[in-house]
Amino acid sequence: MSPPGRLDARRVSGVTAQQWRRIEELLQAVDSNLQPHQLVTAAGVSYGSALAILACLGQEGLADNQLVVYHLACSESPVEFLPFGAGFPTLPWHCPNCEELVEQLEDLTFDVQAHVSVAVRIDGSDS
Amino acid sequence: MIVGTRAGEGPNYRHAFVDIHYDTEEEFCRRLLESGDFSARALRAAREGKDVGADKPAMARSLANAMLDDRLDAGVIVREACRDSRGWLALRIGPVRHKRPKLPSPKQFLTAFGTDNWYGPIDDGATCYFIAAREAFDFRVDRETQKLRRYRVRWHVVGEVTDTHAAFHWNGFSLNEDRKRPQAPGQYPFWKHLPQMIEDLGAALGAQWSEPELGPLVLDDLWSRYAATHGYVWTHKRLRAERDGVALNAHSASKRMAGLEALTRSLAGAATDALKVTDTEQIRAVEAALLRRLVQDGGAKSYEFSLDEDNQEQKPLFRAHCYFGGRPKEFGQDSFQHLNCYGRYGGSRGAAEFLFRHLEGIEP
Repeated sequence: MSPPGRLDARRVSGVTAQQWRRIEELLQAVDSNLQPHQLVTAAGVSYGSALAILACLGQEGLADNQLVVYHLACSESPVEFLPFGAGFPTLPWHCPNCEELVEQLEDLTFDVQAHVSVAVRIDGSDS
Repeated sequence: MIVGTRAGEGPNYRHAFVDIHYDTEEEFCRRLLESGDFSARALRAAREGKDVGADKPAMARSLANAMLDDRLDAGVIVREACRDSRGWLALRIGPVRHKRPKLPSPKQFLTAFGTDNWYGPIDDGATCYFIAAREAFDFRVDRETQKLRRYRVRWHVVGEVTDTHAAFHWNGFSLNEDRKRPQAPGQYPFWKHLPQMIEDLGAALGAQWSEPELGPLVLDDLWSRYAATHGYVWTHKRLRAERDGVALNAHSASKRMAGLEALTRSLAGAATDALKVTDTEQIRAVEAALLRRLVQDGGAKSYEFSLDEDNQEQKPLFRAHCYFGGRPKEFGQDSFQHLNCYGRYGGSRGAAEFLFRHLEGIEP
């Protein structure tokens, strides 16, 4: 079993000690996928804070972040996961779900997902 | 009856007020008071002890005349309208520095279409009310002429502000903002406008507001306190969730054992059968764990439940569809924390009172 990863709570401002405790609970599941809304609902943080936390996990090498692509005209579920940092899909783009050709970026919606590979402890959340 | 319009001059909006170029302040006020955001109860209460007539048009005329003759304060009429429950709710917690900012008056709200703004303040004991008007345009095909017509409508939001928290109440309505598709009216996208409107009022009040932690409150605190507690009935109504690339939209029927509970019972049955578990308590524990996992850890975007007292009275305590607001703004309604409330459970006021009572340190 891998030793737990560690994230310094001071890297993200505006998150209370109690919210960090709830986030730490979420981060105990190894090999799990986390989207910002899961942190918002379970821990009560803002979307912006949730996004920052996932970005920090990625920077620390504790998670692989992906760009989640939605084509809401065909599905409420994501239609593609792309490596984070590789940019948006090149247009025109074939939706892998409905196979329609997407010609405008406005027809797609994006979010982030972190694949967390190790359990993560939060340091410094009480300071 | 056509509300807010002269007969035959426009569509019927239940909760928005249509501008048809009223000639006088009296006419504007009278038509506004006849519209859906002013209940018969509110109109009657505004003229307590005085004969205001039997129906809404008569009450509206009486109140408009009394207000314009300075026999009735406009704030009293608006205060009564603000006291009514509505269908939708958003909450903020935190103090305000001053409750009496300089804003357009309640009389201006009642006598002219005006501009997008907050009006007030209107005192009601420890509460201060504000009411916002916001313009929207609706494209509809006129039934008589069969031509596309643009209607200018006004939508209202009530802000209820105390020293420790604030609640925002509004009713939804349908409109068509796309002139190219006049046959497909949809829900007014309040989530696009309310965050800024709340921020504007907060700035005027010097408020230090934040959103309550609605997810932990509902899915952890309230669940632990009531879901399996003797004397209460907690019914799962609806769950919209996304996790691991899978979107779930489970909607229960009104029966107590339905939808989500039936699904988790079936899954627990399959799992315990495979393991040859026959102990009823163990099977129930698996069911409870699955249900908890699905609702609490399943990436809920929104969740609806009802809570009633489990006795002869079966007193309704709370029911709302809670949108947790954890998504980017491109996801529309899911980007804004708010609740859809039910009249039988006291509407937006009943829901606000229940939630504030359960938020630590907040007295409704």
